[in-house]
Amino acid sequence: MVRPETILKELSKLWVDLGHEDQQDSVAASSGVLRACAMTFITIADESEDPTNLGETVAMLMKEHPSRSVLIRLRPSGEELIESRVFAQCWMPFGQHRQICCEQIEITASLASLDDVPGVVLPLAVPDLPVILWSRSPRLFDLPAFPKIAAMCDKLILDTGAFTYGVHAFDLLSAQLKGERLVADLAWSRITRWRETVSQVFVNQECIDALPTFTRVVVEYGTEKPKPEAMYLAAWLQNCLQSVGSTTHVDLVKSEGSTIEAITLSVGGTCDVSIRAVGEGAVEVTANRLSTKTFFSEPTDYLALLEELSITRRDPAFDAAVPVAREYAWQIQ
Amino acid sequence: MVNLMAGENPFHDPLRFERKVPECAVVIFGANGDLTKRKLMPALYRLAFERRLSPGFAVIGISRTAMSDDQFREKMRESVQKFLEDSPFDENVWTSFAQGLFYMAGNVDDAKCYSDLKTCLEGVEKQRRTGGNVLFYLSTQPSQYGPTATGLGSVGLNKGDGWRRLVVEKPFGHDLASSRELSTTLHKVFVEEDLYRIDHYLGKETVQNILALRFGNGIFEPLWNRRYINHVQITAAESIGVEGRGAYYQEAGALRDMIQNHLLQVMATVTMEPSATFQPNTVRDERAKLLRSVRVMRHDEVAKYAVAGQYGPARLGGENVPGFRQEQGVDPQSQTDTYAAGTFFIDNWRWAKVPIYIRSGKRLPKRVTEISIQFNEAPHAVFGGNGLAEMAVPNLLTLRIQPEEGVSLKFLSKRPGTGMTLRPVSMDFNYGSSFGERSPSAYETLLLDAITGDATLYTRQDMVEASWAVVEPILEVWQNSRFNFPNYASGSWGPAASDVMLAQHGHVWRKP
Repeated sequence: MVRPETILKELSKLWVDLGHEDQQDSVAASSGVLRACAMTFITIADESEDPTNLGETVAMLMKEHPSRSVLIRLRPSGEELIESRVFAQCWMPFGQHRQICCEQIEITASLASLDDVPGVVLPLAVPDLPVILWSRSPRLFDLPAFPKIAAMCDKLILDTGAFTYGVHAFDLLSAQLKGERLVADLAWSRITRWRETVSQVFVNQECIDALPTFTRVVVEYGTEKPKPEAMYLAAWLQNCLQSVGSTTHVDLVKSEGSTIEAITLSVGGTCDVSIRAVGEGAVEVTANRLSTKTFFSEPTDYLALLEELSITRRDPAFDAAVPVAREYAWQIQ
Repeated sequence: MVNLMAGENPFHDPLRFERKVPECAVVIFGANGDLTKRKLMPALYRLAFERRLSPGFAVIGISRTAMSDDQFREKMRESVQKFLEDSPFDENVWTSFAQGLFYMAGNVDDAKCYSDLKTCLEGVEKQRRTGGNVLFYLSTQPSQYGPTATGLGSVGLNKGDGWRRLVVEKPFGHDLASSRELSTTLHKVFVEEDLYRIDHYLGKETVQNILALRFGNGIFEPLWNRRYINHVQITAAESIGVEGRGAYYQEAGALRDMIQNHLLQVMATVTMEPSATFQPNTVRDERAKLLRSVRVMRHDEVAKYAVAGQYGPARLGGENVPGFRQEQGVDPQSQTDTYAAGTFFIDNWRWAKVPIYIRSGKRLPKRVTEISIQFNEAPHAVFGGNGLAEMAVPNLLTLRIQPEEGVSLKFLSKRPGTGMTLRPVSMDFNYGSSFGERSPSAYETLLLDAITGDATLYTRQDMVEASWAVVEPILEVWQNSRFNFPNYASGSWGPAASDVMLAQHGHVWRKP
């Protein structure tokens, strides 16, 4: 059995050891170790997930969002089990002489012991700082212990893209959004560059004034069925068009290629604005027959989380997009 | 659904992405100079790297040297690679950015330069679709500011299809009269709203963070007044000498070069009243109001409240370093201040009788810029009876601007052990470790602001005049004095007279 006091003691010892190590190191002796923390970041993942990949993502995030990180690995076992270990993640910022270190706690818990996890994790949260929970495992949401676990956090991050059924994911998300807690979906964060590009096309007044004249707006997707990203994009476009008085419906159309292949806004079949993926991260933007190319970074979990961890309040565009995306999911089902 | 204002971009999401900057051409006068190479071009490249610039963006460099567009591009590429800080150089980004760089040889004293520029701008506007928006950047000798602005006006370049703005680097005059004269000349061509007087100190993240610390938190403002604050010290120290800028520096001096502009603006940021909103003119109104409240010294007070210094030669780190008078291009009898310190008072209810000490100097022990706010001591020394009275140090809030940006609070704590012994400890917030993100350079921030038309961090003419009014009596007295220079050794914290200036109020300079 794991006791939070023991973990906290180990953490305390870790800092003392780091301080001693640093004093013995002649190069860094005068500079010291700097402890940084802006949040408690809890990650829940299935034990089968590659811990190296996950560890790298969390470590990369530490540099911009220093935190006390708690990784909970779910073991699909009926036996009661909770184990823990603590370690520090340190790095030396470019051009500086002082290491910055953050704490990491790894807890392995069997499904049978999941109910006991909040009791262990809650005392580990850094006081007065936000607690963020990133659930990588879709099945967590269906477990009886989920409400108790979710109650620990100020912001819940999930990924509807990881769910098998879109409708189920959006139902779950809608239920979560009814509460006070902040909720985020990495599938929504992954379309930020698409949304930004649309916004940049409509930066001048002439284009904004022309918005109600677009009679056909299409989001093309290349997967067998549209993924949540495509549904979000269509939902967001729908909401934005409505806000300027347009009644045009945004269509989701199957095409070839990636999760999102293109966005087109046209008048009577003539395409006026098109934003189209052309391979290897490149996106071609055409507006009024003028074309430019831009590049989107690969939409990794790291980038999506980086964005989400920076947002500490409700996102009205996301809140408005979820129910519309849910409707798309129902129609496609 | 969100209700939008008419004409608002419904797709913009301020929570997730930055507003796109408008297309424009930046015309840099003095494009072959140090500022362009070291600061402006790296900042513009970095904005391109961050995808903050519009595809319709162009730079036209102007200087006297004959050069082709390609030669200019190559020169700028070398500069960006050499002077880019905390950022990688990306070949693809550069290739795309360099396509928007153009060069025109011209002499700003020659009327032909402006008609040539007009033709050049028309071509660039067509090629790059810059929408008629032009930002003129004067990175030239200050004496050329007036003639250049007049030249632009003579061919109608101050007006066009898009907006036209003029960025001017400091110094804005060399005294109050010349500052007004310059302003009158500029106003004949550009209205005040289109004039952007750059003070790069205000673009520094940590200077902006002073506003966040003061007005974004509830705990500091109630203490931010004469009742709790004993005095304020503002230090801008440099460890280097004039480094080849002797000829320029000889004419300027520390008071003009640092205190009149940068440090008085920092002081205004630390002491101004909160503005009702964070809009360009509301913030600048408060800064200007504060600067107008600074008590102007009488000539007979200058000796008491201001100290001039000049560094002499010394042996530092096993190396002989020259004194100011031994520097290249400097008069061996120079009376220029390489160190200046002053005691300033702000005549308003919040700050009455609180001394604000400002010092700036070259060849001081280290490069550091910081503001320290010393609070009054605890009213009753509870622990004094234990022979610990000498430990009763006041609380100190230090705002570090450079090199390690951050905030620290010094307070007393009990030392571990059975006795009641107190020891000062420091609670540190380090900007770099709390936000791993790279901070934009001051020039990135300020250039972007000028392009988007946000003048919050730019100095307005009334602020410039108020600062000149503060330092002018000191300048006048110093000009008519004969100092026994050098009066401090390189590597020391300045002349002894500076310590005496604080001692008369029972204070001592901090050693940052």
